[in-house]
Order: sequence, then C-alpha cells, then structure tokens
Amino acid sequence: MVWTTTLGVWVGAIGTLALFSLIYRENRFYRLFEHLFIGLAAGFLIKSTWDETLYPQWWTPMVKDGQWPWILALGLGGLFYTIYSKKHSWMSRISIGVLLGLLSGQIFQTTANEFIPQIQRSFKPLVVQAADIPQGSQLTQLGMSLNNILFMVILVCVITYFLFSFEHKNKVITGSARTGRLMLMFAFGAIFGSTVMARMALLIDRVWFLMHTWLGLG
Amino acid sequence: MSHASVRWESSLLVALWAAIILVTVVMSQRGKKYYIRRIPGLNAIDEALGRATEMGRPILMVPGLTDINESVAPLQALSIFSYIVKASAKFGNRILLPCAKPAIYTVAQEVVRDSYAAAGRPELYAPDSVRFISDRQFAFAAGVSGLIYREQVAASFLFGDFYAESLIFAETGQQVGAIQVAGTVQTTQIPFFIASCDYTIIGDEFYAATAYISRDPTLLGSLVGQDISKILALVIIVIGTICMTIPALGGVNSFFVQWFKF
Repeated sequence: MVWTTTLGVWVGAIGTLALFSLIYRENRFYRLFEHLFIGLAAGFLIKSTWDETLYPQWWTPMVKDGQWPWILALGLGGLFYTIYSKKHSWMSRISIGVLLGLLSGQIFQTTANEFIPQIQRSFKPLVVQAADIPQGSQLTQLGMSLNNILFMVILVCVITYFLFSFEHKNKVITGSARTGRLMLMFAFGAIFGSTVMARMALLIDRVWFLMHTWLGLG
Repeated sequence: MSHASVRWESSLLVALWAAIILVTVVMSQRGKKYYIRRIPGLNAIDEALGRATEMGRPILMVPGLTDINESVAPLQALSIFSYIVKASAKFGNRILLPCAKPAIYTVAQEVVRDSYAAAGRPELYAPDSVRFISDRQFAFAAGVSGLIYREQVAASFLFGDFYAESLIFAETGQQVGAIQVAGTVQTTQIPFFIASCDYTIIGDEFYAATAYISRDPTLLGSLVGQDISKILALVIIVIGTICMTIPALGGVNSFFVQWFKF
C-alpha cells in the first residue's frame, strides 16, 4: 500500500472515532476534529464554488465566449458584503431581492411539475374493472378496489387536516382531520423504519471501514 | 421534462391557483380579517422561551440546510425566528443562529438585527449570535452538535428544510435536556423530529405557523388562498375519480382525465 493511502486510512479512522466519541460526551478530541472538519469543508467550499460554478458558468462565458454582461453578476454578488457596513448594509437587500425574485419565478414551474402529475395520478377507479388490472398482476378486482377506496379516504382526510382557514368544529371535519392525522402517523412510522434501515447501512459501512480497511480484520 | 413547458393547460391551472392566492392576499391587505386556526405546536414556543429564561441558557435556532434560491422554507423559518428573537429580547435571552448557506447567513443577520430593533432592544444584538458554520451537510451537523453541547442550550428550534442531519441535531439537543420544537416540510425527516423533539409542526402546518405568528396580511391572505387551492385540487381529484369509476363517462379516455395527463 502506498504510504499516502495508509495515511489517509489512519486519518479517516481517527476522524471517525473522534466524531463517534461525542456519543459518550463532548470532549477535546471531538472538538479538534469538529473544527478540522469544518475548516476542511470551508476550503472545499471555496474550491468547489470556483471549479463547479464560477469558472464554468461565469468566468468562461464572460472571458472566453465574450458574454461580457456577466460582469454585472460580480457587482450583484459583491453587494452581499455591504452587510458589514452599517451605512451601506441596505444595499445587500438588492441582491437578496434578486435571488428571491428568481426563486419566485422558479416556483411557478415547480408547482406545475410537482402537483399536476400528483393530481393526475390520484384519479383511480373506486370500482376496478377486469381490464384495469395490469397483465400478469396477482391483484384481484376486489383488492385493487379496496386499495383505491382506502387511498381516496386517506387523501381526503389528510387534505382536511391541512386546511387552516376555518375552525375544525363540525363533527365530520373534526373526524376527517383526526383520521388524517392518524394516517399521517402510520405513514411516518413506515418512513421512520425504512430510513433507520438506511442509516444502519451507513453505520455498517463505517464499522466495516474501521474493522476491515483500518485494522485489517475480517 | 418540465410539465409547465409542454402542457399549456398546466400553466392555466397554475395561473388560476396564483390568481386565487393573489386575490386573497390583496383582500387581506385591504383589511379583510381571515381566521387561522391555532397550531398546537406553537404554544410550545412560548413554553421553550420561558424555560430558557429560567435556566439562563441560550436559545438555538437552525433554519435548515437549503439556500434562499432553493426553497422558501428557510425564509419562513426566519420569520418564526424573528418572533422568537423579539420575545427573547424581553427577557434578555442569548440566541444562537448557525447557518449552512452564505445567503441565508446574510438575511439572518438582517432579520435578527431588525427584530432586536423592533423589540426596542437593539443593544442586545450580538454579531456572533448568527454564525456561518459550513455549507457541507455533515460538517454543519458536527459544528451545530458541538455548539449545542458547549453552550448547553435550553431551547432548540429547528425550522426549515432538513435532511439526514435532522436526527443528529434533535438527539444532541435531547442529550443536553433542551426543550425542542421542530417544523419541516421534508416528509422523510418529520418522523425523526416526532420521535426526538417535544413538539413537531408537520408539513404545511409550518407555513401556517409563520402566518399565524407574524399575522402579516400577505401571509394570512396567501394561506387562505392556498386553502382554497387545496379544496379546488380536491374537487378536481373527486371529479377525476368519478370519471375513472363510471365507464359510461369514458374512464381513462374521458376528456377530463386526458386533460390532466402528463
């Protein structure tokens, strides 16, 4: 093994143990690696911002492709630094306003992309015909119908729960909202379980790194 | 491919939703009073502030991991934090607001400074209370966790877009005994907050909370407009379901269902 690889493995192993040490308590070992981690991330941020954003998307079009109006972006970005001057800090709001304007414009498109397909996919027959069952599927008409009815009930109940502009006093509304909340909790339980499994995979990866790559066991 | 670009019908529906929201916003700004139901988790904010005052320990506020040009959630979070800062100014609580994005950091500084000024205590603003930690997810998580331990925060408010770091923050807060209130629209992270925080504001409640707390006519009007839009979407779904259920109406080939086809 090349000595740089060995060094990398040792740094990785010590860093992993240092960050894991927080499980016991906050300590100097953790603090050292926490700051090292943040420092490295700051350096990485500068490098990646230049390599992945500024150079290909700003510098190259401006200098090499002659798209000189990109110089205006420098002024707009520079206005953020006026935050450090009490007298000129108001100018930073110009840049913030431009970013917010861009976000608002994008949201129109995002809304169409996100919600309209969701609405379309919610159109499900409550009484499933034999022709609606996908070929080769083990599902029955009754099973699919019950599934679609359950889907519709949960959808209505959850949307009712997320209506805020009127008081939930009516018994039907209260019952629907409560059922919606209950259904959400079921869904969150399922998400919790599956996400925890994914996190376990991350832990196993780290333990494997320590045991196998670092200590050479197994 | 973008749905809005390939189907003009999509743009029409989005324009209708936008028009509904604009009308309710304008009506609200012109003085129409709208009712917003109380979100249970909001009571916990005052409770947490009281606890921080009793303990004399700082309040932590994290506006999530997304940037100003990625999501509206961090801005909504800052609106809630503005309320918290104003309330904490009355009791002189120290606050900590670590940020993961440079633009959010800039806005957060402005918001905190303005909030102290609005509360009549501009001298309480400490520039180091708003900190940029790192834009790397786990470097940020390590930095905030260290901060929670070292400062032994009494109350922790986690509002915004969170990802895998959510449980790291919430568990660390739990270990130092902080009262924690969280709110996010990230479906995959809500279960972790429910499991480890004292109160969790779920999904759209987060946007409603901002309107409820700030009582800003624009936000109130927007929320009512969103409610009307949700009801409209529900009506569309019910009509679509009826079309799909009754074969005589055309099923999947009916005009209504085809109109929404992607």
